[in-house]
Amino acid sequence: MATAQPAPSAPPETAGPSPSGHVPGADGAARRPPGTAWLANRWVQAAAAIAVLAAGYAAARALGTPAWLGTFPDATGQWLIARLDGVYTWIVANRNSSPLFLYGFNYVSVGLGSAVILVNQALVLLTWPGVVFAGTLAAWRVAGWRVALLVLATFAVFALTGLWNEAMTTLALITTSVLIALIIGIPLGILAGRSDGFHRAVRPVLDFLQIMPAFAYLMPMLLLFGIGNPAAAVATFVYAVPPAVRITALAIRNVDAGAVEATTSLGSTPWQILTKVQLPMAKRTILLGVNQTIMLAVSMVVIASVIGAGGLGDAIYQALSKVNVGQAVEAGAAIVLMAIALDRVTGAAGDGTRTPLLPAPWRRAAPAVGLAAATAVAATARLVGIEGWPPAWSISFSGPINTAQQGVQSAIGDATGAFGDLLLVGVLNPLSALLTGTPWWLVVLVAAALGAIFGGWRTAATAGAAVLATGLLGVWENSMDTLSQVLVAAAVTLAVGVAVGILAARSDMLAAILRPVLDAMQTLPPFVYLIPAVALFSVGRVPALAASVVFALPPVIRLVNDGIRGVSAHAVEAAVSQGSTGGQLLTKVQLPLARSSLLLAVNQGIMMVLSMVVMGALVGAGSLGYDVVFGLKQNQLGLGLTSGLAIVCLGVFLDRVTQGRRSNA
Amino acid sequence: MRERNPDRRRTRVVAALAALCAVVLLSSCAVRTTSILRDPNAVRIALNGWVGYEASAAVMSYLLEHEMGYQTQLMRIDEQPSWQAMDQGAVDVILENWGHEDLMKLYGPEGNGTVVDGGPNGNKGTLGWYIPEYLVEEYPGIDTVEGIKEHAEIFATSETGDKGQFLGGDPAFVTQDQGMINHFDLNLEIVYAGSEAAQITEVRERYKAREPVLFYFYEPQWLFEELDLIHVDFPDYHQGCDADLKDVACDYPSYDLNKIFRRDFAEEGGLAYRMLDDWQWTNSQQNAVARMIAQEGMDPEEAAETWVRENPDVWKEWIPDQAKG
Amino acid sequence: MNSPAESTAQPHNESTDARISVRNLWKIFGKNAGSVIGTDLADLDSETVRKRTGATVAVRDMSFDVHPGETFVVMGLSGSGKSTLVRCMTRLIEPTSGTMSLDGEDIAACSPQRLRELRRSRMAMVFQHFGLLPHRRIVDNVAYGLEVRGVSRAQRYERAREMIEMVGLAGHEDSLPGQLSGGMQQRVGLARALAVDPEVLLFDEPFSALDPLIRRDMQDEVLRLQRELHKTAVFITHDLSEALKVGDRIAIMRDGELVQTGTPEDLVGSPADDYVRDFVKDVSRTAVLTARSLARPALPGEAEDGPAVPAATVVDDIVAPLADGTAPVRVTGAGDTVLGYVGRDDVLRLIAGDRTADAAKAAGGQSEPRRPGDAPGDPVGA
Repeated sequence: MATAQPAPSAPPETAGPSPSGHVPGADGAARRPPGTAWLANRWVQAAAAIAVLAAGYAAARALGTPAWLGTFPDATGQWLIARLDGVYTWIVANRNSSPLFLYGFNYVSVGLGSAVILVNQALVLLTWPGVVFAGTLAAWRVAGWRVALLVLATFAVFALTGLWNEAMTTLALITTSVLIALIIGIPLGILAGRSDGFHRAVRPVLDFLQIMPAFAYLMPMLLLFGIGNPAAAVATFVYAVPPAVRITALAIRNVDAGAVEATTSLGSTPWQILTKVQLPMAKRTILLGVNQTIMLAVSMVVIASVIGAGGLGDAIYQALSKVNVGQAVEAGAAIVLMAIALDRVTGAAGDGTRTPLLPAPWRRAAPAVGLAAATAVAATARLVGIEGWPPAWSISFSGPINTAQQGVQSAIGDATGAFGDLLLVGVLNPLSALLTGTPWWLVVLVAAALGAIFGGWRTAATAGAAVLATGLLGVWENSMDTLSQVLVAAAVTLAVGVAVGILAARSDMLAAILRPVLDAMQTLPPFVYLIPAVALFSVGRVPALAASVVFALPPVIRLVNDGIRGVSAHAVEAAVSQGSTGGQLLTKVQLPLARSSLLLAVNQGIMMVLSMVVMGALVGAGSLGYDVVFGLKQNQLGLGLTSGLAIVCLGVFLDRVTQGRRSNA
Repeated sequence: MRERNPDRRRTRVVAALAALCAVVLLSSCAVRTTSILRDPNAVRIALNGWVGYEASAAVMSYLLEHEMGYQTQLMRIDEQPSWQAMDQGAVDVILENWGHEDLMKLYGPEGNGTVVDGGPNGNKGTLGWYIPEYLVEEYPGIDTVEGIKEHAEIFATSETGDKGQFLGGDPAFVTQDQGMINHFDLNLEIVYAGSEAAQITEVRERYKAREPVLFYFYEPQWLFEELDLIHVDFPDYHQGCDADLKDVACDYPSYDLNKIFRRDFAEEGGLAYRMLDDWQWTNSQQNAVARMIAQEGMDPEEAAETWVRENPDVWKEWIPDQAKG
Repeated sequence: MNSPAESTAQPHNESTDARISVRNLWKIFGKNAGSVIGTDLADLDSETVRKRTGATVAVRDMSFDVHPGETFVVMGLSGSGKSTLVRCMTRLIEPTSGTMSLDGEDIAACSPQRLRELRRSRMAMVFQHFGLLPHRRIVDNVAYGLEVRGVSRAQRYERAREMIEMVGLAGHEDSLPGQLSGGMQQRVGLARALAVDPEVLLFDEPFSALDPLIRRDMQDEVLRLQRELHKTAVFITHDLSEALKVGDRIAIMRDGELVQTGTPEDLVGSPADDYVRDFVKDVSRTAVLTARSLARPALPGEAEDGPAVPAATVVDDIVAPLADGTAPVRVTGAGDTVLGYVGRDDVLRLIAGDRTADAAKAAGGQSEPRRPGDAPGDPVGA
């Protein structure tokens, strides 16, 4: 007997065509013509906007660049810089007398500075056998014996390269800043997860923190919290806290609403819901956030060495001051290994599947037993007189690396040099001239137009305002020059990244080979490859470009690879069954269906390149990045901060324009 | 759900108590940056980014640790921030200071009063424009301002187009290059290498290919041991000629490099302070250590040990009598 | 049981014997929610209200009573507001206006603490997607309501084990929800609701996520528990056969409004409007209508000694006694009074009516849109 009757009128949520029953490939093909027309249309519009820009440039040139067609007036910028410099002077004069510091910042700086030192001393107290034992045991407990072996190998590299003490200093700083980031970030994330209002309020702040170049806030940190560990810990915290907040909020939000509703209906208080339902169910995802936080902290402690944080980052600088690439690579490798080990351990903790099973009575006792054993090892070691790793027991592989680098240099140096010149004369110079030589208001208008084309009116307003703001900050020309470099580097990154990503998606072997390489590329501090880049391309914008391409490639390759591999197997099967060639399969099925991944790759690639602007300044890229470094090193808060903010503005512009496209797709 | 916490009242009480505690705590102890946890027996030495400085720091650190029983901590920071660090009480001594009269005004006895001039360390510092020696053979007279003016275009690179390239150095260093270019009307454009490492790499590559290169540099510097470099002559520095950084009619001044102490360290630093205060050495002594570090790839500590072993009569002078045992 | 006269959507008078009494309940989503009730807008249809104010009317001026021990089914298609209604009753969703009283106490007006007390001990809900906590063992899931109430561990475990046994899951106490099948998980949901020994059970489409066979088992389980425990229940479903099977009374909702309330027989026998008629069109009336509705006075010359059947017997169940002899069955009411007679012709006419409806549907069925979710969901009692 049939019971439920067809509805007299179809309910609204079932309206719309049902995709079932279509062959996905055919479905895609059927939608393509209007899609392509629409797409082409947008690109035509964008090209028109660029043409207007070029026309403006030509006109300004032809008219001899009168003031109203010229560059941005810098009065606002000068005013701002003067104010900021005034703030600097005030802080220097009042640091140990103003209540703001006596009862505020100094608490943070003394607390944090002392915490880092305490952790470091605890590690020293443990002695190297104790640290190795405790670390390996903890890794085994959380992640199984494979990861434990990796951790052991990591410790071995610290010791054998003679970087044991530096590694411990870095570990102490990471531990402190990550703990702070979690203690503050997770509650904030919980708040953001439970309150929409707070979420809306906190999101732009997190966006800002993530686009702001680390170098630009080292200076204010240093000023507010004091040189060395305190500022380094705060800077690392600031850099590493966004994922802790974001991912916790996401995790809380993603907790099955049904479970929350069910437990509410049983009379739980909000606190009971949080502790008995939301937190336990969000635990895995929150641990993913912890993992991300640690990874960011690792990359930041290297940069923080600029303000006296010491550790492995310091070892890299030391090597660089002697232009000893081999030594820098050694220290870089130690950091890469530390990052990978921390990643695997925390990753496994979140995953939970590789945790070895212990018999029940052991499970609770394990941490205590482990701690006791580690203490015993440490005590024995101290009795025997072992503390730090003896320097004599180290080996160096910096010589062979230097030889290899020089070999590569003499083999391809001429070719790369010529290529660099070509890029400079053919692309970078004209683009920079175009952006800096066009009347500023026209550039702002074109930026807004691009925003409108790719994202709608709100994006247009944001994009225009962001570009305008670079002018108001008083760094218009530098911003435009930096923008030209970022655009070119992003283009190169995307061209290479998409190509490699496609190849990797089509060959499992290539993908398997690439994975560890990409891991290393992502965690290797960029300082390490700056010098080889200079050797290959000679000082200027080109080595900076090369370095940022190396830095930005991994996520692009990953996203393209994952996107193509994520294309529904049914769609691929259907297309193959209809006789598609490999090329047709790629261009007609895989790439179109992986479109959202590709667009995300574009966005990520550009943002990563942007985050390298300051690094690029260390090898001669000049412009905004140079002023950020200059401001930091010469105590010019105004110049450093305005340039840093201008980078944020460029970031907002580029992000919104590329993201608007993604969400529209 | 819009429910409120039933324990809200209790939470409020707890919050109020916590706030009260915090206020009491805060008002009872104002915290100065100097109250940071530290080992009172450790001497904290600022370590600026060039090898010569590192050589001095390595030798001082070695002597303090091995001859006098102190602990030392080398803190790698740039020149200007190290003054700030001293003001904040995070660093005790700068071993090799290049000028910085403005900072002395800010932090010295006339300003915050947190630092004091520790007198010369014996090294003579020279800043200026340098070219490889082979250029002088090829273009006689190029090591003068007229020669540079005449041959500016040979320094052109694809970065600078038809202008000659002047290679700047680490952004931490105080420079007047643009003022000199303006005053002497040189057809040059500055490309900032952004870091000394990048600058040296570039100079080395050019040198290897025997190409023209003109750059900001300084002595004492270990690279002089490796490459033959010539200082370009400009009119000598005289007081005030660098007043306007947009128009500088002279060369860089040469410096008698000095030491800077944190005031409290100078007053309470005891033997460690006395040793650092007594210490003076020459450019060639510093270069001897710097060469071991930079060219022979020795660990700074190892280089210091070698030098200390070979030159006891030099350093014995610096150690205060009470510490000799 | 109610008389058909009561079964309209109009507000009732306050009925004193009702366990749950809902009066003039509104729920409007959106910014301008407050600007609809009590104005001219309240009389407009939902679509117009949405266009004019942006607010969505989910529940519109509903009033009904649920009596102690009764299973009250609210049935409607998705989007009809039935899930919003049941959530309003325990204020998982705050109603925009109206009152809901439980034994005379207005839930809508109680303080958060009081509301929590009610939820902890007097009403419990069973959800479509179970809402179990995947990180807790079954016994801890079932004991959850007692745990948040502050019951000691030993006591709540004892009660939880009892409940687990009652729903037939003994032996699974230490499993995690992920290790159980959907049907078993919903048994856990049921045990969790029963563990706090509530007076009122709220079921929100509890079985629509289950396979048909398991769904039938669960319906039987609910019927069994209701026979044993006599809870007052509000049962939400979109499945008419389920409604007919478990409901003492059924309310049909459409676009947030109550269309008709009545016994299964009322709905099938005398649909209030075309909407309800269309709904019940496919129902085999012999399975719903009772002997009472067919009972008529004895025809002249008819045998009056046929087998006796109680008035509540469904027509399907009188086919057999009719087949056994030629005499019409006697329909008996309370105290064995004869209410009337039902003969073979009466039953055959009813069956013929069903057949005609089926044939009409078979001919015109293609043109009618069919909701994909409904199609496979109806083998129960087929």
